[in-house]
Amino acid sequence: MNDHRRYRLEQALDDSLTPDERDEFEALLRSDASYARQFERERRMHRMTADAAPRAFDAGFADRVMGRLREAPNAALRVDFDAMLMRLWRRLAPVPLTVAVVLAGYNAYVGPRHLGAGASLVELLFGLPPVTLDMLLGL
Amino acid sequence: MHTLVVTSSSSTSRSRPSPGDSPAASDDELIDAVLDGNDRAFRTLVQRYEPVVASTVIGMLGPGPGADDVGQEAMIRLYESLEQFRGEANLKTYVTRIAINASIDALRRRKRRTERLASRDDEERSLDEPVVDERSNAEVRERRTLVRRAIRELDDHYRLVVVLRMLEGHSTKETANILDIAHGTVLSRLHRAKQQLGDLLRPYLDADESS
Repeated sequence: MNDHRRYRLEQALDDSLTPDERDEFEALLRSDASYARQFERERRMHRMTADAAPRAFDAGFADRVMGRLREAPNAALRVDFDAMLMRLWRRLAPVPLTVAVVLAGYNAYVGPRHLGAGASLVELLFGLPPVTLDMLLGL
Repeated sequence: MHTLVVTSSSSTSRSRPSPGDSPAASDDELIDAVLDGNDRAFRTLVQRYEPVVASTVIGMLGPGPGADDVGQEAMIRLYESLEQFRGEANLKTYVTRIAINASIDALRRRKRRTERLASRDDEERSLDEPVVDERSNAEVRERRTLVRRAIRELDDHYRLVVVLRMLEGHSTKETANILDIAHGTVLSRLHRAKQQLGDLLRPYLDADESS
């Protein structure tokens, strides 16, 4: 089935055909038996799934919702806040992680010039050189 | 933020509904009443849109206590966001979008926690206790169960489209709008999903065809 026929079939199932398109579609159905069978089959599938749609939760759903609102009126805000923190972490975490990796690489390449012999591995990798006000002004 | 003065259900049932929260009130009237702090108006909204949220959430997650929780969460998100609802979409579309987002969040949590076994338990248990009306005969119940199971077999992005288009009855354009994806994407996903569903439901579709 080509895209145009597929699109028409979905439009027919949507009930969104214009009168001209409907005429064209009905002519297609009359002229192509396999297309007509496919349309009928999909229409049955739509009916079958619509009939199987769950239409309610267990009894007392509205009471449970109102109960939750009464007990924790800002529960949703907390959920949103947690989600916001997670989004912030995902967006911002790469920056300090990249800086840390670059610093570690730099320190590993240059070597522990400013550290004494007793420096730990963490200090060796992530230790910053001593920066004084004079040095900054010199820049 | 608006403040909801939630009264107990017994006091609610004793008092007469005002025009702003009666079941006959329009969505806009109910929203205005909720923003004025009227809890019965929100209860009416919950009751009005329970079918929408139920078919979306249960369609996405399968039945069980998990779906009920997510349904409640969706309603609470609706309550929290009513102030931002400007009527740019109709409320049904807005509620569906909230329910879809809550379901997607729940699916992510479920995947993170690898709760597949637990959800299957829920599913198997719930198959014996269908939510639909009790008048249905065994064959209809069996068919509905099979259809729901078939929908749950679909990949998430196919299931999303099927739930909105085929369970909820939104048009393909509305579905694209709710999911914020291209209309063509909806059509192609729907096509593939129907192919899979057609295979899974073949016995029933063939039986209908021959009858």
